[in-house]
Amino acid sequence: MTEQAIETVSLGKVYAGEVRALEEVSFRTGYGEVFAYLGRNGSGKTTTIRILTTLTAATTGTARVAGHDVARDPAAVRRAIGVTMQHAALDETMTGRELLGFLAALWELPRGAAAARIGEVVDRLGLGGVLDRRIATYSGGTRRRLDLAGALLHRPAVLFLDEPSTGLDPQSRRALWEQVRELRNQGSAIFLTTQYLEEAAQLADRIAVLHGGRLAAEDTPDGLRRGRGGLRLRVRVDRRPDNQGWITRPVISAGQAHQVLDGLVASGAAIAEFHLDEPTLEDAYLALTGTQSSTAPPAAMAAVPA
Amino acid sequence: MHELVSLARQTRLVFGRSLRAGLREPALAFVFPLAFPLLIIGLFSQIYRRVADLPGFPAGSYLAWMAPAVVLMAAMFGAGHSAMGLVRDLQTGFLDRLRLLPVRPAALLLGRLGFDMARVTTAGLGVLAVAVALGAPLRAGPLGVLAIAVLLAGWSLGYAGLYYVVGLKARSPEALTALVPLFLPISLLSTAYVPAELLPGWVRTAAAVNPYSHVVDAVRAAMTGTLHAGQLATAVIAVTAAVALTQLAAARRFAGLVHRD
Repeated sequence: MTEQAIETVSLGKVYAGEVRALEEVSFRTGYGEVFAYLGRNGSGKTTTIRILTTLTAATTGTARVAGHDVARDPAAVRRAIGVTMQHAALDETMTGRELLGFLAALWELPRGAAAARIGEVVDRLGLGGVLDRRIATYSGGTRRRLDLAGALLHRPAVLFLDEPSTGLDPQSRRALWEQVRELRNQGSAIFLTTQYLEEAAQLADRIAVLHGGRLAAEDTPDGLRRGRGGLRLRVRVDRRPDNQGWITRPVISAGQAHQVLDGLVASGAAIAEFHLDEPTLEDAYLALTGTQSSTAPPAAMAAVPA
Repeated sequence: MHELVSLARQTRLVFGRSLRAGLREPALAFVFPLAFPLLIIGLFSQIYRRVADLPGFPAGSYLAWMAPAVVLMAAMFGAGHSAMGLVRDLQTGFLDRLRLLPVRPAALLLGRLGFDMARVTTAGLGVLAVAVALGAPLRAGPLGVLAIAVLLAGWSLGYAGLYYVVGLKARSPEALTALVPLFLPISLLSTAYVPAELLPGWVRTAAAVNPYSHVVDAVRAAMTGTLHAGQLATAVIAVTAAVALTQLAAARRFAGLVHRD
């Protein structure tokens, strides 16, 4: 059997005051795969990452990372993982070079090997130009890249990225995505939490959706889209003073869309334009997390026959 | 053996990090523990000069009496710097990053405490040199100075523990700032500025049980060359008790923090 990069079985966490942050969460992810973990604020994403990175103990269930049990052998897990937290965890009094040197020394990398490895990650993440500046002067994107550089120093097999692109400008975000893809292509397992559906759609090989501390779904992005979203009919209707512009309606098939259009025509509406859209990841996510869709049909749609 | 070597190496790295941070904020790290005691020695030695004329005053000058207290004041004023750094590490998540490295939690504390001790002891010996230049006695030989340095370092360790306990509990720099005035009751309810014979009854009682009195008395005796083994032993016990009390509490709180919650 191929060893999984991460495997959890019925993972649960109850904080003081009986606050249930996580319940019965089970999933697996392999090497050379980006596993995106989606959920709203407070859904349990960070709790999961803290358990998997050995910073927090699970209340129930088990978790193995890189073949090691997080509860029984946390030291082995830590040697195998790289982690960037929600906020870049850096010492602002240092320069980037000093920080990487400090971390490499604590990883007990021999001096020559440390210098070579720092050079490698600095080149890969494009940090050469800022390395001798104080971290306090870095932009948000540069801090993120330095944080990632620190997490990569010891060549971790499994990388945890907790909302890595929060607060980044679009260019920095795309550059980060490129780096994530490159790491994935080199065989690393990447566990990524995010609130950005576009990020998950761009990067993930598999997606898990967490809702209220429970796993609502786990699938490929396409699987999630098809399995949960349905189709969406968008119609632009003219000559209806109460209903100018676009109206949107979820439908289960092209046949049902046809019926809706027929109904509109029969009711005297002049259809100027219509589209039958494939479900988006956002549709699937909103359906799974029980959130009102931003593309929900307007009230006037009630007048449209099914 | 390998464990100890590894602990020492990691402690040295954390010490180096603290030193570098201190050098980049020299006003807080190095000037503050030196400047305030020097101000106090300059003012108090003049304002209270005639206190030495009181009948039964046991020193030749008020400067001679108060100098040991001001030397130890460096320890109390410089104590919070590293604890502040630890709170900052907690707030920024850098402590979590360090926890994910193969670093012994003890090294994370020892490196910081070592830097605090070295920094504060240097400042205290600087204050001592100024006090002597102003006329305070220093009749002890090198062993006496060594005893002063050891007591100063020990007291700084004990006092710094308070900052760690509060900082790790409150996790806020503001809570640490609020601790600064604590040096006042500790100093005033002791023999630091007034001899026991001249203190009111209840203050004399408080001073007798205040470990700081025993430390300051021993430093005073070391300066005047009258330190005897019994007095040194009492001071060492007082310092050890202070260190044990505060540092064990700090270590316990830190262990609770770095242990998985």
